[in-house]
Amino acid sequence: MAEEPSRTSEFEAALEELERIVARLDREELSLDEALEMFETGVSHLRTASRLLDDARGVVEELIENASGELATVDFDLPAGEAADGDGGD
Amino acid sequence: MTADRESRSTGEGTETQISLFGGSPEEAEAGARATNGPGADAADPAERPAGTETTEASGPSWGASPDRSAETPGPDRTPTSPELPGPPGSSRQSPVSVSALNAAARRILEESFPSLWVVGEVANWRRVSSGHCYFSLRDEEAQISCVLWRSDARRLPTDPEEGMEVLGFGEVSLYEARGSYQLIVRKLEARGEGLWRLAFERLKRKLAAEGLLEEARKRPLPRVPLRVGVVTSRTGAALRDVITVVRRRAPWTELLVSDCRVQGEEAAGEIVRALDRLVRDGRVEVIVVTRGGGSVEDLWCFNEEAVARAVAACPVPVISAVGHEIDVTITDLVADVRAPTPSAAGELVVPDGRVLRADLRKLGDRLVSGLRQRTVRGEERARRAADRLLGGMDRRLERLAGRLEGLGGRLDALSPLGTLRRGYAVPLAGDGRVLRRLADFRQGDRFRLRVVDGRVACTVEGTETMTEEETGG
Repeated sequence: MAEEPSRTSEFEAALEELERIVARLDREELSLDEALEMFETGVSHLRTASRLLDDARGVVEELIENASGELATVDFDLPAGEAADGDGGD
Repeated sequence: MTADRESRSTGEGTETQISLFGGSPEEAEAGARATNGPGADAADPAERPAGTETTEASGPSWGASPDRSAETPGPDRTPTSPELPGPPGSSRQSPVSVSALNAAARRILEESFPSLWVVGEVANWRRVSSGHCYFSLRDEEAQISCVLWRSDARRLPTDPEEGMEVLGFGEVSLYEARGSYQLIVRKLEARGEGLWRLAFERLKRKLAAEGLLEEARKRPLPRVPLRVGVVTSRTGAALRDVITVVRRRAPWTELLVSDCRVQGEEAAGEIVRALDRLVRDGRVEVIVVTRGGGSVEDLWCFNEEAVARAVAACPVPVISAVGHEIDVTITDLVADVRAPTPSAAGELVVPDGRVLRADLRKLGDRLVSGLRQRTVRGEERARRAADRLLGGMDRRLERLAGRLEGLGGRLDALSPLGTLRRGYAVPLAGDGRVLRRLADFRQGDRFRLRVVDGRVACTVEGTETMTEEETGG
């Protein structure tokens, strides 16, 4: 459906790769070269995942459709909002 | 809704001014047909002529004649003059037509009874192709024919079952074409939530038969969706709850709201369209369909087939959160995940950011410790290989190897030949015996030194004793 790979799938792919690498490092008998290579790949996945979270905009938008059936995304403001004050998470 | 129905219907009883003395029989007949509906092919009540309010205080009746109460029409009182026929029906000269009789009877019925609630059991329910419903209400001793026009029947969640006890609200009338007395039902309810429950069970059975409720159809939700769609009313408390929770847990998440009404007759269609917009847009990875609590009737749109089918067909996983915990709708059953409340949907749709970031840190830690363990294991492997290679290495040499392990993390320790590669060598006598002690060497002896990549032929030039400290204990 989506033409481009979503950032979510990018995030989840990074997370899954990372978990896979950690499991292999734990379990498998690898040559040191292999282990080092995996470590480096793992670190890069970790960076990717963190960056995706940091880059996401965290906005609320509304999807509307005009008379000719075209979709548009517009800013959405909560009608009466104590809800909009996200505290920035952790 | 009920109120305006009731007020409208009180006007209808007198909408057609039929006077036995004024209107022509044709007019009376037309009015009767249009008002009462001839049965299966009756016109929609909306097409009936608009009521002309009558202000006639006494209402139409036989009693237009002032002296009717005093006189009983009879042959002996029949007026003899044809020019003075007397009250209609009072003589052979002034008979009333069947139409006029029925019209008058209908008028009396309609004017004598207010709109009222009637309780009884449903019998012989028929919903005809025009959409009108015909049935009877009965108890142990009596029954009355009933009609429920299409515009009112549309509001029924489903058709009642035979024998179901129901309450009907409407007006008493008479179907003139057949002279049958009937109840025009405006509103039909089962006792309690009977009809809603019945409609729910019917649709549930139908969808279950198609396999749409099966666990196997449920898709996993994305663990960390970065874009979430919300199908709900843009002004509802449910949306505020979802936004609040998602903001708190996963502030990076983008929410895309697709507005729709979530109660009333238009709601089902709007929910379907709102869902369709998100699907066509194609950016969200999961959709929350939600509304806050309400009556069974308020939540009903989430039990409508069109909504259930749209949710089932949605290519993106759907979380349904309708009403409170106790309210389970068909949409809940069809969705991939049901959340008990809108806030709970917020909790389910995104992970807790603190936990997620902690998990990422933990994975990073395990990456480092995994690598460290890997090198320790490598050393052990190297030691075992060295043991095999060097055969009867004595305990002292083993301790030496143990110390090598202690050096930890050295890349060359990982090879079986690491020990030799690091510069240690093993002196071997001509017969392969390891030369371990000073006493094994005498000046001028020839021996071989095993190094990492070969052997070296050596001759002892001289020997020198070392103290215990120097040898490392």
